[in-house]
Parts: sequence; C-alpha cells; structure tokens
Amino acid sequence: MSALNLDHISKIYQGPDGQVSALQDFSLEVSTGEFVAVRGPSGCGKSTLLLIAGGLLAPDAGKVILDGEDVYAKSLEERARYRSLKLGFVFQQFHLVPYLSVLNNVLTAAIPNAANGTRERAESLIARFGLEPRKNHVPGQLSTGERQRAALARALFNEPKLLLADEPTGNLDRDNADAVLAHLEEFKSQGGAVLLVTHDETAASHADRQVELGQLSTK
Amino acid sequence: MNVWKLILGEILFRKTGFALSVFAVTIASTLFVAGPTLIQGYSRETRAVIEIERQALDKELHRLDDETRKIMRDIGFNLRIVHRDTNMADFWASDYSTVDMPQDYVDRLANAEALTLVVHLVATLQQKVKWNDRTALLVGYLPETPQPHRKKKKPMGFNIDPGTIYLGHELGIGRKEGEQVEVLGKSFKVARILGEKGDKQDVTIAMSLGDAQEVLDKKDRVNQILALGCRCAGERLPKIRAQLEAVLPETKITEIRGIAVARAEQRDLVTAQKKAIIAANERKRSDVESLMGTLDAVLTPVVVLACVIWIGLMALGNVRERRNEIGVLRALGLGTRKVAALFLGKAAIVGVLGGLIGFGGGTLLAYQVGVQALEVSTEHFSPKVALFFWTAFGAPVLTALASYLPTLAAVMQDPAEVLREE
Repeated sequence: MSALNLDHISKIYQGPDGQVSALQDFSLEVSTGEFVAVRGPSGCGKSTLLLIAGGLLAPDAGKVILDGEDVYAKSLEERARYRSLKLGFVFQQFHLVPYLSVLNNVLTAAIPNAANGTRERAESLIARFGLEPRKNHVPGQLSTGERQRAALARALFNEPKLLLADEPTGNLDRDNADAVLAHLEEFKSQGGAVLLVTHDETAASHADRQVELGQLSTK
Repeated sequence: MNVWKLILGEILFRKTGFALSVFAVTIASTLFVAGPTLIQGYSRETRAVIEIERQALDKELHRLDDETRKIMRDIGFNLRIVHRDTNMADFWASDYSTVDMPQDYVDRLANAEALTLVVHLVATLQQKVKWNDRTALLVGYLPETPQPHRKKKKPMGFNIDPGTIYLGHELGIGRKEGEQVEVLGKSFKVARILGEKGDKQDVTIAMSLGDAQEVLDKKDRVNQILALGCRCAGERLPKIRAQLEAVLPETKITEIRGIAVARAEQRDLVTAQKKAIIAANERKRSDVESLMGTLDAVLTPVVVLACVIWIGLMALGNVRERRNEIGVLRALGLGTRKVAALFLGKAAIVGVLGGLIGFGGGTLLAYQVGVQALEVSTEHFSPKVALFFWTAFGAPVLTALASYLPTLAAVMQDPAEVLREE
C-alpha cells in the first residue's frame, strides 16, 4: 500500500542567473513499511523534494498523494492539519523550540489537534528514546544526540504514516547517528514509511531502497 | 500543551524584550492616565478652593457690608415722605413742609407689608421758630416706628424723653447740659448738646414729637416721615414710589440723592470687588487647568504613538528572531490562526500588564505632581474608573494593533523558505 506517491514532480526556482530546475519530472513511491533513502550531493534538490512531500512547498507540476489524498488539492489550513495527522519531520538542525522542555517540545505536536490525554504518550516516547532524566531540560541543556532524539520523539508523537527525515544524522557522531537510524528502522518495522534524504552513504545504507538525485540543471 | 503555554514559555525565555514592551505600554498608559487624573484633581481642588474663598469672602464682605450699612445709616436718612400737597420749592426754601399730615400715617406705613423697600420710619414735625433772638429749626421726633413684619434693627433717629431737648452745636454754645431753658413758653431741660455737624442740625432744637406738637399747637400732626430706602439709587426709586403710592397715596417721596447714591455705590463697590477677586482667582486656576489640558492633549498622543511604533518594532524583531520556530511549528501543522494567536496573545498580555501598571503609575504620578507641585489636597485625588476601563481594555487593543503587521509577517512567512535554508 502506498504511503506517499510523488507523481511527475517538477520544481523550478527563480535564481539570480536565471531559472534553476530543482526537480524535473521526478516520481517516487514509498510504500507502507518501507524505508527509502534519497541520495545526492548538496544542492541537488533533496530538501526541496522533502518539503514538497511534506506539503510545505507546492510543486510547479505533478501531484503529491499522501495516504491516498492529493495534498496540494487541499487549502493551506487543511494541509496543515493533514500534515499534523499524517507526517512526522526530522531535521538536521533539530528545530526544537528553545524555551520549552523536552516534554513540552514533544507536546507541541499535540497543539494543532488540541489532543487531550497526551502527556502519557509524550512521556512514554521520551522514555523510549532514553530521555527520561532530561525531560524537563530545555534544548540548550541537551547534547546534539539528545536533541535529535527529542526531535524524533516529537515527530512520532502523532503516530504518522510517513516520517520525513532531512539529513537527521548530519550533526551527530557515529553512535548517535546509528541510534537515530535504528529508531527510523524500528518505526518502519512497525508499519510506518520513512523517506530519508541524505548525502551520507552509511545512513542511506539503512534504507530498503536508495534513489539517486542528480545535479540541478540550469536553464 | 496549547498556544497560551507557548506564549508564557516564550515570555519567560525572552524576558528583556517582554519587559521593554511592557515598559513602553506602561509609559504610554501612565501618561494617558496621569493627565486627566491630575486635571480632575486640580479641578476639584479649584472648585473647593473657590467655594472656600467665596464663603470666606462672603463672610468678610457681609461683615464689611454690615459695617458699611451702619456707616451709611449713620450718615442719615435718604428718603423723605411728605404730604402730597407740599410745594417742594417752599420746602427747599424753608427746610420743612408747611403742609402737615396725620401722625397715624407713619403707623400705616409701618404696618404695610407691601412696603418692602423702605425701613427705619421716623415721623417728625418741624418748623422754624425764633429762639433767643435767633432762628432755629424746631424738630419733634417720634421714636422709630417698628415694622412688625420686618427683622428688628437698631433704631435710627432720636429718642428724646418728654420735657427734655437736644440742642444743636450753634444753639448750645454757652449752654450746659442739665440747665433749664424755655422754648415757646415751655420749660425744657437740656439733655444733650450735639456735636458740630456742619448742617442745619447745628441750629436745631430737637424734642419729643409730643412736646413739639404741644408747643407748635399741632396735636397728632407731623409734616415729614424720614426713612431709609434700601439701595434707592438708580431704578429702585420708581419702585419705592409705586409701593408708597399703593399704601399711602396722600404722600410723596423725595430722595436725599447724595446719601442714597453714596450708599448704593458703596454697596455696589463692595459687591463688585467681591466678584472681581473671585473671578481673578477662577481665571488664574482656569489658565493652569487649560495649560495642563493642552499639554495633555499634545504630549499624550505623541507618547502613545511613539510607544505604538516601539511595540510594533519590538514585535517585528520578535517575529524575525522566531523565524525557525514559526517554520517548524507550521511544519508540525500549526494553522495560521494559531500562529497569529501566538503573537497577538503575547501583545494582549503586554497590553493588559502595561495598562494595569500604567493605570497605577499614572494615578500615583498625578497624585505626586498634584500634591507636591500644585499643592492640591490629597482628598481631591481618586482613581478614575472610566480611565481604568479605557486603559485595561484600550492598551491590549492598541498593542494588538501595533503587533498586527508583525503578526501578518509571521503568518505570511513561508515555512519552506526557512527550512530550506538549513
């Protein structure tokens, strides 16, 4: 069953030296329970691909079908809600809210849906990612590995169908990177789909399938 | 977790920025409240001061007026009531009326309640006589006839015991009080020798009306009723005449104008002075109030505008500082309304807090300035309830308006742009 279907996606940016084609007629399907890594050098459009897949950047052409629904056929507000229900994001820079504790950072994922009774789930995720002693610490008091694990706990809070990971190990040492990748594999094994974009071969090797993205073409 | 927790968390995280914003609203609210509160306190003080001054002046001027009235009374009567048939040319030539009238006329006047403008009624009988080879004016005085319907006052005129006389200064030269003299065949004891006055009183032999009627052989007759008119000058004389005409049509009235005018002018002068002093004080305080009002009308909007701009810039800075946070929250699924609520909610808290502190601060400032600089009594200061509501509700609305454009910038921010910058 398809979790994500990127159907003939194209995206062109207007650069200072003319148009830059970030993606051109790109198609990719990620099935439920599948871990796909998109590889390519810096600036090849990996992040663009991830933002398009996440409903944050509308493609110039093509469709994005997430869990059977056309993401960009929805309004901005509907898309935001749909994103909160179906997707989890993990970034290279973690993007934790700097003034919230680990627990509250995980709980920010509950705000869009105003969900109740969520504290137990957040605490269980925190425990699962080994952050129990750090749950009341703010991001500034955490190591980089802890921050990424906190971000991962937040991404998984709403039990998404698809996890979008943008160089999640880029700022981590090997041990922490392995730990994060192990969590992604665990998520996949529990039926979730993972789309990882990375230039790191080792990270990509954890995926079931690897897709190469070439250099951007300039017109 | 909800938007309010995010707002409070961010406030605690960026305390300085929050404190500066609250400070700006506090300054604006303080001025907004201080001006009207000060003006209100000063205005109340003005009213109280003027009232106290008015009462003190009224009291003082009443005393002065009373003194004046007594002095003017001592100057003498200012109205003469004579028989209607009196030839005034003869009257002025001989100093008395040759036409006499019944003595009970004075009782009719005294008992007439309609006669409100005439007081101190003294009936006299006068006639020129030869006394010791000299021409003298014999005047018989009836003690002042009381007016039952009027407040009792110290009587005017002479109250001379029967069988005694008062001699004018000229006639008294060479005489002694207590000696017996003869007037028109009747013996009298000289009870008083009057001081020099410089008028016909100096050649007057004053005695009781009864004695005068006896020696002049005019029983129960008088030829003049002296009186005091209340402020007879100006337009009041026709009114007095109208009252007299109604009560006693057989008489007519003449005014001793110099005395009447002096009396009226003196009273008018006192009243005018009273009004001028109060008006000057009112004008002075009104000028201060007007100056405060102008300052308030100019300064407050300028400061409020400056604070609105300041808060807007602070909010814009806050939005720029939180670009990543907004981007991630949008990625997590936060809608535009919730993102807007993050900033407008914070603006509302800044407004409520700054407004409340400013209300207290403004009231205190007005109190301090009023008491220390303008010497306004503390009792005239009280917090203005209307201003409290204007500040408590107005300040959050104003800060929300000031934060509107920055909030719009936050809402319009493209999360993809921020996240792609990684």
